[in-house]
Amino acid sequence: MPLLRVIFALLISAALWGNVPARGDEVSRFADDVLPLLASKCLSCHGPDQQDGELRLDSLSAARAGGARGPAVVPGDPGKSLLVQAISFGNPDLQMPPKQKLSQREIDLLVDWIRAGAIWPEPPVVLFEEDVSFPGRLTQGNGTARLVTEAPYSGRVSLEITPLQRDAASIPGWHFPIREHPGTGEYRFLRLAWKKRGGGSVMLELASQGKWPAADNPKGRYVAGPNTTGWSAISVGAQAPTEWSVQTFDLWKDMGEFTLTGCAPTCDGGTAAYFDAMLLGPSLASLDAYRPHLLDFDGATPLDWPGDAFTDARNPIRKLFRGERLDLWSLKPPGQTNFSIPGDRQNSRQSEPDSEEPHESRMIDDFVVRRLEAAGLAASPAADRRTIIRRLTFDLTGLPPTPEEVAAFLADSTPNAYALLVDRLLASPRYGEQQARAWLDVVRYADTQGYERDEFRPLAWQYRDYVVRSFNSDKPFDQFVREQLAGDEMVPSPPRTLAEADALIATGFLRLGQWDSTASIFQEEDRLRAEILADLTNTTASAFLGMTMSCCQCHDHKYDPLSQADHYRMQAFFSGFVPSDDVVIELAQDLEGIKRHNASVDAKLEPLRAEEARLQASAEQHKEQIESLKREMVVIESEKQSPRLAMGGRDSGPVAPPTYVLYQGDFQSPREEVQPGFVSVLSPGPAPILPPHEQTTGRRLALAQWIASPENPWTARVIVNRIWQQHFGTGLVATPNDLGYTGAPPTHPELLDWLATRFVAEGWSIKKLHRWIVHSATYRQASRVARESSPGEVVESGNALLWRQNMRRLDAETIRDSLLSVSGLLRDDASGKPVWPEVPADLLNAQPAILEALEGKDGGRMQGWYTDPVEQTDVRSLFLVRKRCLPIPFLQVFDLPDTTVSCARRDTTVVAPQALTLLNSPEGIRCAEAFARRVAACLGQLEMSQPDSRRQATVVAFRLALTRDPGATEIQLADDLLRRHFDQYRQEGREQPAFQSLFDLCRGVLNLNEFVYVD
Amino acid sequence: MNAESLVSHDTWRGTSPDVGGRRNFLTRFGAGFAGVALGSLLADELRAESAGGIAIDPLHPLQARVSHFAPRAKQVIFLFQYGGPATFDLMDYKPELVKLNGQPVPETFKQHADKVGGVFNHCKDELMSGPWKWARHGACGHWFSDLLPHTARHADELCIVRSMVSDSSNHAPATYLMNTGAILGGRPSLGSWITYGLGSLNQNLPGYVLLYQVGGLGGSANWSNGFLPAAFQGTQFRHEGSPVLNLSPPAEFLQSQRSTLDFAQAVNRLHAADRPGVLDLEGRIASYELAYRMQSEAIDIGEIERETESTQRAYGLHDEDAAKAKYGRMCLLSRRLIEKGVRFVQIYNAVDKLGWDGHDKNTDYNRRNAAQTDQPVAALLADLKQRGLLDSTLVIWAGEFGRTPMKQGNEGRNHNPYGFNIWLAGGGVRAGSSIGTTDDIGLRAEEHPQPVKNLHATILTALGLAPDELFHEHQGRQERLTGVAQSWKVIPGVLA
Repeated sequence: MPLLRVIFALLISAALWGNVPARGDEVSRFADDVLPLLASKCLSCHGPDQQDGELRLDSLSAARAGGARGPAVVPGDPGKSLLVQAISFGNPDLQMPPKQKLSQREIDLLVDWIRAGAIWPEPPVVLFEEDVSFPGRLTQGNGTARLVTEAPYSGRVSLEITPLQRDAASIPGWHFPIREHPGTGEYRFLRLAWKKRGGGSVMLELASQGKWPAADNPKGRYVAGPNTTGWSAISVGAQAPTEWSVQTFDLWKDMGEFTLTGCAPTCDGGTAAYFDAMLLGPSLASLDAYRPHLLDFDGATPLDWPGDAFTDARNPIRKLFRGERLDLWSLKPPGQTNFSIPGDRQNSRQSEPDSEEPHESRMIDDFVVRRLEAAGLAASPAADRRTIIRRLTFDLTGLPPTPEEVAAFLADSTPNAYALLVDRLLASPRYGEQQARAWLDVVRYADTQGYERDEFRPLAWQYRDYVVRSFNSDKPFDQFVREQLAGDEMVPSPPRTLAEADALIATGFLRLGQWDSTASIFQEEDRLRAEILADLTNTTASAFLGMTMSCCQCHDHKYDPLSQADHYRMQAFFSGFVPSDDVVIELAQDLEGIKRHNASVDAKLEPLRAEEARLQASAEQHKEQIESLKREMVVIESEKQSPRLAMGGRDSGPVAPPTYVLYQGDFQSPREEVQPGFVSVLSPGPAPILPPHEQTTGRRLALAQWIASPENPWTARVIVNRIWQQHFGTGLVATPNDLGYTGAPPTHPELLDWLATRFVAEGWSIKKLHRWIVHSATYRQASRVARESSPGEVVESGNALLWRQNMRRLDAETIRDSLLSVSGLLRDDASGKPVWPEVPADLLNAQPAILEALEGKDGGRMQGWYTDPVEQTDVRSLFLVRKRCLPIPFLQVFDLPDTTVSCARRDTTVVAPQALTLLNSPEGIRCAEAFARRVAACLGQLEMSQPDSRRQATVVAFRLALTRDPGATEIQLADDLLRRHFDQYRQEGREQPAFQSLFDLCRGVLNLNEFVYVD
Repeated sequence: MNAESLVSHDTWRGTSPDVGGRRNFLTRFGAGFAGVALGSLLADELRAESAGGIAIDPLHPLQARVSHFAPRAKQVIFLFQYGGPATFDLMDYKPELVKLNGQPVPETFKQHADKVGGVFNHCKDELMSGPWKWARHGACGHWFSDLLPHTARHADELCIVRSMVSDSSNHAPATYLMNTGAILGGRPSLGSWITYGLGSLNQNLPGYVLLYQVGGLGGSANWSNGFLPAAFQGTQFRHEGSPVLNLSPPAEFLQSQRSTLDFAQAVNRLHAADRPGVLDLEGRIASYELAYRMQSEAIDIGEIERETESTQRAYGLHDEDAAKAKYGRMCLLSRRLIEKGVRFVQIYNAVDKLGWDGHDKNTDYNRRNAAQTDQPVAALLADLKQRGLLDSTLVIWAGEFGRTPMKQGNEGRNHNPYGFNIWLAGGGVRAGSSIGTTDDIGLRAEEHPQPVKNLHATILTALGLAPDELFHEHQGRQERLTGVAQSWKVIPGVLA
């Protein structure tokens, strides 16, 4: 600990020794000579870090109590003070400091100090000196509060207030009892320096227990100068001082006993009032001993921090990378883009009439067409209506349209048909499920812990359902971000409304990473904590900011303007977070009900308990009675209710453990300590943090507000790009988790920025964003084009310029959901705890931890697999359990992402096991059979010997599965299959030969490319 | 929708592809896909892929690829020893430990700062040597205890690395580390990286096959493809029943399978002909044919009854110890897979959830696991050699960590990541040698400590892959099995 920091700590820490009246020169001697001497020569071995011989010399009480050998300091009696013996080097066994004897002057100083009574006043509380967050703590008032560097009274800044005042009646952390004889943690005197510019008066108002004094009561206000506020005040001078003037107020004398909770620095008239060095002490000596020039202001002064790398040559990132890396496109806020808004291009639009088309959709088209024209290309014609309803329904709900929906849309020729379709899909509960599926990829959601035991997290689903609800209700995205990072810092606990409960559930986001429950067995908690913090940092950066923080965990970023310290500055926001599996989300009013109910149950139990106690006295004779009594009590006990809980967490308190830069990312090699801070390229200082209440650090809320702010250059772009990707398969930035140099540059930078700006201006509404995109002609283009008419294919086969739509393969969950939907098996009422489908037994047996559970030896840790009856498993895949160590094979084979890191975009690989799964798996066969039954039911009489009925079976199967009619060749192919298979089965004497052949056809149809690809 | 509206035609007019642009589909269909436009598209795709690492042909991801330099071995069998075997009970002879049996740990061994959890926690302050008889074997004179009499006969084939260290003393992280190079699960596994780099030698089978009765702790993350394409995922080959999950349909569809497939493929071709240039559609058509071929080839591999009686006996297939017979089947299957050109085969030894994890009764665990694995492993080495496959196949025997020489519980040993043995044999390995040492009681690596990434670098190098060149661009970072470039060293003396 550096010397200055030690003294700083001593000057402001709460003292253990009481109030000693002292002469001024004694106080000065202590503060100016004794304390610095103790700090430089003694405290490194006898201070907060180390206590050799069990001795501390950092407070009078500790020095009096002494160490293993006895009291070090006996006030007034140097002869009995072991400290004096040690520094005099009289006793060869006790010589301190051991390496070099103090000078005679220093020895005399300490001896004289002890002889004079060892004056050591209690340190004052520094209410304001260099506190960057102080202006922000004054949350009310119509004046402004800011820190200024010009001529402060002490330190490097003072507080400037413009008329009339800034105030807060309850400042977090302010709870100072004012007493005549202050004990520990109690105070009496307030001292400050103030001055006034431009005439008028300067005033300080004090709040007692959250309340301001009445207007006509002067007690609680001090004023210098002519008071024109209309509030009565104690005058301490006829004129306001124009130079710094120090005032000391005896609060107890003026106001009696009270608790100081807030203040209002006031500027009555003139231009500004200035305040500095506001102290609160138990005694005048305590205030006198304050030495602001000794304070260590490192990390405390806001105004001395360099600015962003673009404007300030002192910016650490600018220095580190020698001014390079600053041309990264995503560093510049989208709102700063000078859009060259394209003109109106009536002729470029090729879609059908769309009476409800938003202005934004037209803008999207104009941005896209402009780039196409520059490349000598034209947009493709609009897709046909059958294609468009299929595409749109999959994109917005993750399910195929039903034949009814297709028929209705095909039959509706009114100009608002498309708008109605879009509105219906956005209003469908299935929309939120589809949107949640995409978000859960980004936050690497799973229902289990991972690692060796991979225990079930019984409440993780609350977060999943929260995400579904949030999208369905179109919660503003900025709020969605804030809730996930800091919901617990935003709402009270227990919550008062369902919306507040949701904010608490949202903190489940902070819990979604892996957790190694066995780490503690092998003393690897430190390793685990380091991993979890890094993982949370990396995921937060990827998910919300499209930033690759994982790249600078071990060293400075190789490409982007991020330093290694940036990674740990971001980690520090999470440092105080502690997980909790029992976050109460029952509403406060209902908790009362539960409490009352449980009390009534206890009341019922009371006589039974008494009865049991009576019987126990002669237990031998009443065995049976006792047993039956116990059974009865268990039944009654079970009537008790418990509040609803969620998986989330909160901060451990107002102080977070320190965060260090880790050399090469190694948790055992901590280097310099860092404070929570945003990326240094923009804001190298510590983040301004305002704890919302006393039980939390406020750090995550500060991060959340920075991320979810319109000024953040990344947040809106990242989510707009993710949504765009949902509709085109590829984002405007092809790498949604990486907006850095190694990520893809935006194909349409102006469009991205314009959309991001509109998105924020329109209240961060995801549904609006969807509407703008899907109403655009760009979205509604055909994906396939005849070769001869598409110069784009030659010029730009990658389709980055969007001269057509992209054909896309359905993702794993959508394939399964489509199978269930088309076969009529899908249950669309799911929510709540996840469903466990059957998986092959040998996969369960392959997992030691699952085996342990199957044998009932997992100690209730739920590390097994809990198969539900098959009928209950026909829910959307979103509601199936995501077990980290055993992904459901049917989904895994279709590129289900790993749940370890954020997944920005699904792979769509084509491998043989996918074919085997769709063809041969029990799920594939079961859906094909149900599908065949559904087709058969539509046909009524199942007859395969007639070409007409075979044709009808084909038509129905195609309409249900592919939402279209079969072509002539397809009818022929199907006819051939049905006829041959039917004949074969009949010859073999199989039961239901007609159905069996239809079953084969349906199996074939569900394996078609067209079933899993969308035009 | 009621049946009537589904079969009526009115509203569906115009939704049949005949009305759309399906002209001349037969000529396109007939012409195949060797056209110029497609060729150039494919080239684009390849360029795009190779910018991010290895060039992968999306239609043939497992196509054999040229290594960075001349390989010493072409294929790999990884005999993973789950649970953490106490290698100083098996092959790392410690006379000092025998001498100090039953005594407290000498102070000199206690003065190290342990990187992860303290190795003395949960152990008694008492050394335990075990009742094993030790002897030298082969011309090289490798020591083996009487737990591994069969392996001992192949002493001159083995290169033993005696100074391995791990970064975690906990099963799942250490198993992840050994299999994926990182203690946090979710990264691509060794087998995925190797098939990504080299493809495979047989296009009708997966390139990376796993055999297990019980897999490693931490589950499928141990054979995950992580962020690499799914074609490089480990595929489980079951040693009984259908060898690959969903390989065959239920019996009643066996006969009609081809005909149903033909229908789907014909419709698929119509569909693809209407959408020229969409490579995935061709890829998916090809994948159904591969699946069909895989069905016969994989079933063929599983028919180990075709092996001679003496071969079956050598592997212990008829042993009354059912666990040994199972492990023998897996070893024999791995030879058959190697023979068919599969690039990477990994076997997990455990037949129950216990493995080598002898916390309380380590002596029993040693006896049981050694009895189950020793003979089959030796038979595999002999069989590979006899068929001329050992020269081109790298065989690796390794657990996730070792165990403590201190006693835990009655007769157990705790996890110990600070020093343990592994061995390598076959292609490119300097046979009959050893590298590094543990200290006198087998507690910590002493000479030439080797982190797991060095083992991975050695394996890649044996296969002709340069560890720093084998990367994949993922979320803005060049990801490698061996981590930061040049942060690894090939273990000196392992490769001939």
